Amino acid sequence: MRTSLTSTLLRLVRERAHGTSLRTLRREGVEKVTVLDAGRLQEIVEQAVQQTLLRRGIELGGGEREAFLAEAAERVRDLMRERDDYRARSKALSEEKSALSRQLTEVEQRFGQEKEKLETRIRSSHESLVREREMSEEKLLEQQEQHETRMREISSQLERERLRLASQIDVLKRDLDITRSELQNVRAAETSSVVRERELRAEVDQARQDAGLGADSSRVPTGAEELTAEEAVYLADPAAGLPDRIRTAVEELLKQRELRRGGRPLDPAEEAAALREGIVHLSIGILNDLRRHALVQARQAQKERIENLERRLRKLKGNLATAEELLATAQSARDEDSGVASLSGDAQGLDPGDTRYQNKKKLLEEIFNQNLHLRGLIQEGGVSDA
Amino acid sequence: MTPETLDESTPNRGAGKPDTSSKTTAAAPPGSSQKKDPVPGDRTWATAGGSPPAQRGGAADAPNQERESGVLYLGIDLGTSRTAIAGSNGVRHSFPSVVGYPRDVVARKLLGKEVLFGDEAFKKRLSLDFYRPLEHGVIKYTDGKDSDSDLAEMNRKAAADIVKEAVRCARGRKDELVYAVIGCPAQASITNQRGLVDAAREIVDSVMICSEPFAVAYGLNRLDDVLVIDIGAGTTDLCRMKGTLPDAEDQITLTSAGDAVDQLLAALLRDKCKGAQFTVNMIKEIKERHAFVDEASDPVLVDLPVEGKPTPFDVTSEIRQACRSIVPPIVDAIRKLISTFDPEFQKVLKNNVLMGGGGSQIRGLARAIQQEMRDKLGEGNVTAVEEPVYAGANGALQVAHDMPPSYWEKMR
Repeated sequence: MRTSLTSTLLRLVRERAHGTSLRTLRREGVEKVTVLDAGRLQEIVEQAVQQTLLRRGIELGGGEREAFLAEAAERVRDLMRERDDYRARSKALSEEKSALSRQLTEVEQRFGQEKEKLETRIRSSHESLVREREMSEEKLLEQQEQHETRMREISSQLERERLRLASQIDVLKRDLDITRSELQNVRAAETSSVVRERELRAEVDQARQDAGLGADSSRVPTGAEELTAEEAVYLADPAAGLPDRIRTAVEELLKQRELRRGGRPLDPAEEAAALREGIVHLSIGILNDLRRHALVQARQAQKERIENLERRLRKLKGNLATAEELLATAQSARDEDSGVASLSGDAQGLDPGDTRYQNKKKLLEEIFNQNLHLRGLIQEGGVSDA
Repeated sequence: MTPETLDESTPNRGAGKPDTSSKTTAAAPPGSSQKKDPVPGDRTWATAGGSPPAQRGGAADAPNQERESGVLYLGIDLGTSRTAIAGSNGVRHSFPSVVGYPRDVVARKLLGKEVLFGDEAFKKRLSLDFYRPLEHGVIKYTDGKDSDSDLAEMNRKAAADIVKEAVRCARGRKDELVYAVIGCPAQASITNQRGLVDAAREIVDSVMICSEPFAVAYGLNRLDDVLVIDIGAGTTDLCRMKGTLPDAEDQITLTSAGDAVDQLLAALLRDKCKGAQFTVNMIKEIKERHAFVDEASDPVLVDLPVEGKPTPFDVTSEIRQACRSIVPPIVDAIRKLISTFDPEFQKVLKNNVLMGGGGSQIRGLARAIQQEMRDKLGEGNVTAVEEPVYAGANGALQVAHDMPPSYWEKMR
């Protein structure tokens, strides 16, 4: 039995021992090794088992003792197997740990690289955004400044325009008054020309009566009436058809003389009277036509002048109205910017939800007190840097 | 006009009316329609940074819940070079801080105005008594022995007119109360603060003053352990924020700013561009267009007149040198502020440097300051604010809006 246990123990030790050389041991700093032979190992095991049994008050017989030793040897084998299993698992776990550790390092490296890349990208995009924003803000500010400069220019132009318009309105009003008075004068002159025409007509009638002729039944138009087609004839040059007219009148006189004579000799006195009457008739007719021509022409000129004045009046009134409208617009445009209202979505003052509420409150109080002190100094007139 | 004239002219006016009234209708809407129905889309806020404080929270999500508040809050950044204004009605505007008054009757008649501002004043400056009333961030001649002189009085008037113009540009409604916060340089004297208050009180209903760098930090909600650099034309203000209102020792004002860069650039160009003629305004324009401090940059070529003929000059290195000149003094000031800060928080402060103001638009300046900080202080992180021109005005507007209404009432 003893030999069996010893051989078992030796086998187990051999199976689980690992080989090494003296050189290796020396390199590892081992100079001396402790040696345990198989007999001593068996003695130790048996001794340990014996002592355990004795401590527990068990005295074993020969057969029992052998069986016990065999079981103990088996137990030792089990324990060593378990230890081997643990070692194998430990080794596997250690290898797994190393692999995981390598993986972790790789992941960390990759993460670091990605992080750097991302940071670079974020930095560059942030810089470009800031640049863009600055550019757009600059542009906005430039536009705003241009707009305000333009507004100021417009305002100044409007003011100048207002002054110009005001002065233009004064001029227009003066022109209007002058034109109105001129029109009144023209109308008065027209009235006086109609009166004068009537006087002339009376004088002509008187002359006709004096010459033994009847009153002229032809109607003389007033200045206010439109010209008829017959009257419009008198606008033509009266001298143009005068020779033909005189020739026709003389021929008519001669024809009447021949009719009166009827183949007998005429009384010279009668002939002279008839001739005189014919010539007077002709002269009065011509004078009458000339007078009519002059009157119609004067009337036409008067009419044109009145129309002209009325057109000027209308234009002046239109200009005045436009100028007054522009003036009103200019005056209202001077203060057209009524401002931008201040808006608030929450209560004014420090936000109680602010994480630094107490700190800020204290700071604001200090600023207020400093300003109050400054105000006090100003009011006392005792400002001095001392 | 006589009654007869009236009677006679009426029909004609009536006849002419349809035509003119249609013109009036076409021209009238801007004023009338805005009065009745303000359109948010018409406003000039275009970015999130430009949104008025009144739109915070629910208002931004539900614009239809907006209502007229009856009070127009204004944030004004009265800068040496530019004045910026932001209003709670969404209007933002900036213009050069210059004023011109017609020199004589002829000029007044020609210009048609009593006073001109900004770019318009620049353009017409030969016909004007021209004022740039702010220097080193404060009203000229109002400190010291010249404070009672005519020059000081004119500069005070010019500054007051700039404030009035800024308020006018906000386009507030006539029936609204106007409450304004004006940002002033970190170390402005009481006399100068009074000048600003006096200038504003003529046109606004209530006014308060606050430090510009503080306003910038407040507007960005960065009140703890942050160092604000506000690079203006007249001054560069540095202010460290520690959660309280900054004291005198928390602030440093330098004159190494935009104007100093202009002067140095002018001196460098005088040496480089022999025979070229230029003015400070031309130098300023060149700087504003090309300013940079990077090592790598495209060549900057500018045309300057030489005996009347435009002549191209390469001014790349001069611009870089002039712009870089403000870096060392700024970093020295940063060092002073950091070295006197609580040692436990020095590291945090170094890594929280905010840069604003018109000068912060110099290309590569944040990186240059950061590098200089790393060389001299071991570390540093500088961030340029997104809206350098409006950062101060936005912050002042935020202060104005957050200030309790009762405080405003007491300041009236």
